[in-house]
Amino acid sequence: MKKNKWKLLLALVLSVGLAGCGPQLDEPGSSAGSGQTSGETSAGADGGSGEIPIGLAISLSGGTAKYGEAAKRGVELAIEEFNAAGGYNGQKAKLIVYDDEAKPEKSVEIVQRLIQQDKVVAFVGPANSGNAMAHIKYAQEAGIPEVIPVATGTAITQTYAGEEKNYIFRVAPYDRGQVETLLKWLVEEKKFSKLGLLHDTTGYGQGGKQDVEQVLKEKYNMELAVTESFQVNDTNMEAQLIKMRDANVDAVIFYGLAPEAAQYLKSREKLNYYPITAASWATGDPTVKELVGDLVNKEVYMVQSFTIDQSEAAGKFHDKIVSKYGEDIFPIASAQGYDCANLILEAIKKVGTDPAAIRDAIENMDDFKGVTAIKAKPFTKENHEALTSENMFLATYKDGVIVKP
Amino acid sequence: MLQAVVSGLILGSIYAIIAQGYYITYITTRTLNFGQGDFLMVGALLGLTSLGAMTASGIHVYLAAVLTILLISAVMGVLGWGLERAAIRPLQHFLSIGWILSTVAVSIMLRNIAMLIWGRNVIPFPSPFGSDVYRIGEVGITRHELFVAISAVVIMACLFFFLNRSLLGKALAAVAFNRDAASLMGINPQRMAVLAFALSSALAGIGGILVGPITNTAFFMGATLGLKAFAAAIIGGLENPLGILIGGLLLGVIEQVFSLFNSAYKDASAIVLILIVLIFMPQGLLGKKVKEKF
Amino acid sequence: MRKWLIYALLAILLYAFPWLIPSSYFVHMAQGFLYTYIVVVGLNLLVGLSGQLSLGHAGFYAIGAYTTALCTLANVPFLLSLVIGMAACALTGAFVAMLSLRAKGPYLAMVTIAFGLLIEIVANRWVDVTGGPAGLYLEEPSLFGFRLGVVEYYWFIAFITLVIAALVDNLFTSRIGRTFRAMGNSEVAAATVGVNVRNWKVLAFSLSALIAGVGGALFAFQNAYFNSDSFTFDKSILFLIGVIVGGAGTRLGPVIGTVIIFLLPQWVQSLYDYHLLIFGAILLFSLIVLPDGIVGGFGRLMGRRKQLTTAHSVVEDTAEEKSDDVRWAAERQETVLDVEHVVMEFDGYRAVDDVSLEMKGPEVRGLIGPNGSGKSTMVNLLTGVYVPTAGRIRWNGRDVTSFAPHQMAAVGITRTFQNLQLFGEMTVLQNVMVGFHLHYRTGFWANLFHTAAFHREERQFAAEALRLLAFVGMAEKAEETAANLSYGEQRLVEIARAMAVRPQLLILDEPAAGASHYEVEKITKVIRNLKDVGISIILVEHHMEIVMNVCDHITVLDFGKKIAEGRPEEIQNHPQVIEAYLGGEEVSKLVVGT
Repeated sequence: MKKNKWKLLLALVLSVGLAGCGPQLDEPGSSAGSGQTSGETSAGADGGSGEIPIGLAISLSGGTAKYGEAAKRGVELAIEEFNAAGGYNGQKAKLIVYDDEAKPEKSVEIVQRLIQQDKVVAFVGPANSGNAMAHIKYAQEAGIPEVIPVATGTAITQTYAGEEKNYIFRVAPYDRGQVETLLKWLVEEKKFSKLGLLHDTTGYGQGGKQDVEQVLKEKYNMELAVTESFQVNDTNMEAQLIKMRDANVDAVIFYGLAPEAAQYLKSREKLNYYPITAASWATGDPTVKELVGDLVNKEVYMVQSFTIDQSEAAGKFHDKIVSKYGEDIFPIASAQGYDCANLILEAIKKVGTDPAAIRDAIENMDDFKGVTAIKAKPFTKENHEALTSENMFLATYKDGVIVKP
Repeated sequence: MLQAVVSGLILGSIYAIIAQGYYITYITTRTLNFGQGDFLMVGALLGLTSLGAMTASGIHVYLAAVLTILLISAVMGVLGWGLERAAIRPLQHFLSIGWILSTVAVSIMLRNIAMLIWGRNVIPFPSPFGSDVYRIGEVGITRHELFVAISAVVIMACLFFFLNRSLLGKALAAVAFNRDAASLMGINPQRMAVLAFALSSALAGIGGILVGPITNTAFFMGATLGLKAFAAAIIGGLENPLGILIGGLLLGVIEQVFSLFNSAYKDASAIVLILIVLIFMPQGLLGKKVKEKF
Repeated sequence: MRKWLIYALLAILLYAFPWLIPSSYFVHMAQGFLYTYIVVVGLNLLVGLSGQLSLGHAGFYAIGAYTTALCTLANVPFLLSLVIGMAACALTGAFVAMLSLRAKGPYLAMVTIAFGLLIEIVANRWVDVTGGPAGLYLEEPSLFGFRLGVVEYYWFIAFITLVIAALVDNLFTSRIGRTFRAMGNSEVAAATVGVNVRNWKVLAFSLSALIAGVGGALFAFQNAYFNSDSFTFDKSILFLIGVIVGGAGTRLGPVIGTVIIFLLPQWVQSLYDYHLLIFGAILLFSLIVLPDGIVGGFGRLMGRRKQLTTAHSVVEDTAEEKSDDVRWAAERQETVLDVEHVVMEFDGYRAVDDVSLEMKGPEVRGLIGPNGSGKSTMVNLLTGVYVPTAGRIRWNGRDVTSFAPHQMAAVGITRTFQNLQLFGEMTVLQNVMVGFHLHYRTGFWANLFHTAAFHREERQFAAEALRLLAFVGMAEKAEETAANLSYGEQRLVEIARAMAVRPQLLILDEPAAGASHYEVEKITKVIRNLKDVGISIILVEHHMEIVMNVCDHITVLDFGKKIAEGRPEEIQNHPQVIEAYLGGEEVSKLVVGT
C-alpha cells in the first residue's frame, strides 16, 4: 500500500518532467475559463464590434466606501457621455464595477478578474493606497493601463517608474505633493519650527506621516516636535491635543479622513485650544463641514486641488453630477474619477482598444480637457502624476466656504 | 488627565448601556447578539431620521428627543423580536456556537440595508441639546455629554429596577436561574427569550441615539462599538449587571487615559486590560465562580 | 487503499488544473481557495473536533505570514522560513491556549478576539518591522534555487494542501482525533480516563495555529506583497463561518465551507450593492436549515452518521461474558484508600464535613445518604474533580489529595457519572477506545502518519474494547452513536469505558439512576461481575436492593458528615441512619431493601 502510493507520486513527478514545459496561461484564444464567469464576459478587446470593457475596481463598502461611490459616479458619467457621443467607431464602452471592500487581497482578485475574465482595455483603480500597492503588479505585468482617482500613497506611481512602460497613472493629489505644499507654507511662509503631526493609523495616515518626516528632513533638515496618532472611529482626540498643547507647537499637521477630522475639530472646541491646523485634502471633504458646522472656520487650512468654482468646466461637471445623482457627495473624488475615465476614453478615441496603445496615448496626451486642475498634457514618461504640487494650493474655510487664504 | 477621565466615563457609560443588552440575553438564553453593534447603528440612523422628521414638523426639540427614544426603543424591540425568532430560536436545540454566526449574519444584512437606505456617507447627528461646551475648571463637557451622563444614570436605574423589582424582571431572573423550574411555574421561557432580545435591542438602539452625536453616524459605525461593549461585559462579568457597569466605565477611562501616554497603542491598552482580567479572573471582575457539579 | 486513490485523483486534478483552465485569474483563485481551505481545516480541528472556540484565527494567519515573510527578507531560504513561521504559530497557539485555559464560552471567545485584535494592532503599528499598512514587498519564493512562478507556486500550494489534508484526516481517524473529540464532548469525562485536558487543549490550539500559519504564509507570497489590512476581525469570523457552515467536526466540511466563504463572494461580486445582504442571507439560511453544517446536514439526510472508526473486523461473541475474560483489566490487588478528615467548603457551606474513611481492597463499598448529604461531592473529591479544603487522601500510601482527575486515573482511580458524561458524538466503541487513553503506546507521529504500529494498536484496542462491551452486554451496539442510547445503556457504556482505564478503584456514581427496571437488573449483574473481577468499587446508589446485596461495607453520609459505617445488615438497623432517612422517600426503600 505504501509502495503503491510512492510509485504513484513518482509517476506524477515524472510526468511533470516529461511534459517539459508548464502550462501557458492567458494565451489569447485559450480562454477556456472565460466562459464560466457570471455572464459578465464580453467580446475580446480586439473584437471590432461589441462593447469596449472598462473596469472600475474600488471600495464600495467598508470605511472608504464614500470615496469609491463618488469616484464611481464620475466614471459612470464619463462613460455615459462617451456612449452618448457615439463611442469609438460605433463601439460603446461598457463599465464593469467590482467592490474591493477596502481589502487588499480582494482588490487583487477583482483586478485579476477584470484583466483576465472581463478583458478590460483599461481600468480605474482604487481608493485605498494599500489596495493599489497589492494589485498594481498585475496591471503592470498584464500591460493594462490603470488610472487612479483617489488613492494618494506616494509610492504607487513610483513602483514601475523605472520600467520601459509604466502602466500606472494617477489623477489625485499624491501625498508627497500635498506634504510639500503644506510644509512650504508652514515652514517657508509662516516660518514655523515647532510642528506637531496628528495622523490616523490606516495606510493613509501612516503614509502621510512618512512623507512628512522625509520632506522635513530632506528639504528643511527639521524634525517633528510631536507625533500623535488616532484610530478610525475614535470619538475624540483630546488626549492627543493636550499633548500638542503641552508641547506648545506652532501648528498641527492633520493627516486623516473626514469623520476623524470632524472629531479633531470638536475636540479642539472642547479643550478650547485652537492651534493652526494644516491638513491634507481629505479635510476638504464637505462631510467635515456637515459634521461640525462652523468649527471649520477657525484656523483650518488644507491642501486642495479642486474647488467647484475653479473653472467653468468644474462648475458644469458639478451641475451634471447633481442633476444625475441628486447630490455631489464628494466633488473632488467625483471630478477625479471623471477625469480618470475620460483619459482612458480619449485615448481610445485616438488609438482604439489595444491596451498598450491606450497606455502610450494616455502618456502622450497633450490636448486633454479635464474638470480638475489637470493640464492639457498631464503626463510625461517620468511623471505619471496628473496633479503635482504646482496644481495644489492651500485653502481655508471662510464662512464655511473653501477659499484661497 | 481629569478631562480624559471625564470623557472616558461618558464613553464608558455608553459601552455599559449596550453591554447590559448582552447581560439580559445571556442570562436568559445563554446566547447573545454578536451583531449588537449593528443594531446600535440602526438605532442611531433611525433616531437621526426620526429626530429630523419630528423637528421639521415643528415638535419641540426636547419632546422630539423623548419621543424618538421611545419610538426607537419600540422599533428596535421589534427588531430584537425578529432576531430571536430568525436567528436564535431555530438554533436553540443544538449545542453549538451557531448563534454567534447567525447573529453576525443578521448584522451584516442590516449593515447592507442601512447602506442602501442611508448611503455610504458619514451623516452628521446634531444633538438635540446642541454641542455647547460647559467648562468646569480645566474640564470641558458638551451639553450632549451631560445628557448622556444623565440618561445613563436614568437608564441604569430603570434597568436595575426592572430586573430586581418588577414582576416581568423577576420572571426573567427566574428563567435565568432555572429554566425548567420557571416553566413549571407558568413562565414561558420562550416568551422571556423574546423579551430579553427585544430589551437588548432596545438598549442598543438607545445607545445608538446617545452615541450618535459623539461618534459620527454611518452604516459601518457599529462594529467597533459592539466589540467594545462586548469587552466591557466580559471584563465586568457577563452575569453581573453591576460588573458590566464597572467594566464599561473602566474600559472607557483606561482607553482615554492611556492615550495621554501613547495614543498609537490606545486600543491595545484596552485589549491588554481584557487579557489581564481574564487570565486572573476568567469569569470577569465580578463574575461568579461556578463550581461545576458532576 | 481507497483513501489513497482519492488523494491520487485529487493530486492529478490539482496538478492538471492550469492546463484545464489556463487563466491566471483562475490559477490565482485556486491558490486563494487552497490556502483559505488550509486555515479552515486547521480551525475545524480546534472548533469542530476539540470543541474549543477561536475568534482570533486571523492572528495566527498573520503571524504565519509575517514570520515567514520576515525570515525570507533576512535571506533565510523560503522552505526554512515556512517552517520557522509554523513553529512561531505553534508557540503562540500554545501561549494563547494557556492564557485561555480557565476561560469558557463567551469569555474564551473574548480572549481569542482580544488576541486577534492585538496582533492586528501590532501588525498595523509596528511599522519598522511589519511595514504596517504600507506593506512588505517580498521576493518570489524559490525552492532549492528554483524560482516559483504563478503556476509553480500554485502547485506548491496544492502539494502542501494535500499533505495537510491527508495528515489532518489521519489525525481525525486516530486516537489523537478521538481524544480531541472526547475532550470537546466532555472535558471532565476525558480527564477521568486519564486525558490531561490542559495539555491536550494546548496541543489542539498549537496544531490549529500552526496550520493557520501555513495558510497565512502561503497567502503572503501569493502577490509578493501584503500589508496589515488583511488580518482583521472580519477575517477571523469568516474562517469560523467556513468551519460551521461546512459542518464542524466533519472531514469534508472545510471543503464546502471554503466554497461558501471564498468562492461564493466571487459570484456575487458584481452585485456590489447587495453582496453583504446576499452573503448574510445565505449564511443565516444555511445555519437555520442545516445547523450542523452542510456536510453534517447532508449526512443526516442520508440517514447515516459519519463513522470515524478505523476498520475493525473483529466480531466477537456478544453474549454476556463471564468475568474471567476481563481479568486482564486489573489484577486482584491489595489497595488501600485512606481518607483523613476531608472537608469541602463552597462559599462557607460545608458540603463534606470532616469525613474519614478507610477502605482496604478489593472491597465493594456502598456510599449512601439522603439527597444533599455530600455523596457526589465525596465522589468528586476522590476523583480529583475537586480538591478538598482540608484533610488528606492517600491511595496505596501515596498522598493524592491535590491530584487532578487525569492523575487519579493514572494511579488507578476512575469513575462513572451520575449525570451521564458519554462522548455523545462518538460511537460506543470509540467511547471505550478513548478509555484506553493511558495504555496506548504509539506516539503522536505514528498516529499522524498511520504507521503499521498504529494500525496494529488500533486493531488490538478495538478488539479489547469490544470485549469490554461484551462484558457489559453492549457489544451489538458498538457502532451506535452514544447519544442515541437509552439512559441505562449509556450507564453501561460508561462502565465499560471506565473499565478500559483498567482501574484498581472504580467509583460508580448512581449507576442505576434513570435506568429502566430491566436495565437495573442488567446493571446489577454487571456490578456483581465487576466485583468478581476483583477491583475495588465505591458504589453511590439510591437503589437500596443493589447496595444491600452487593456491598461489603456501607458508609452513610448525612449533611456532609459520616453518621454510620458497617456491614449492610448493621446499617439497616442503625438508628441514626433510619432517622436521617425519615421523612424522606428513601426510608421505605431502606426497609423494603431487606
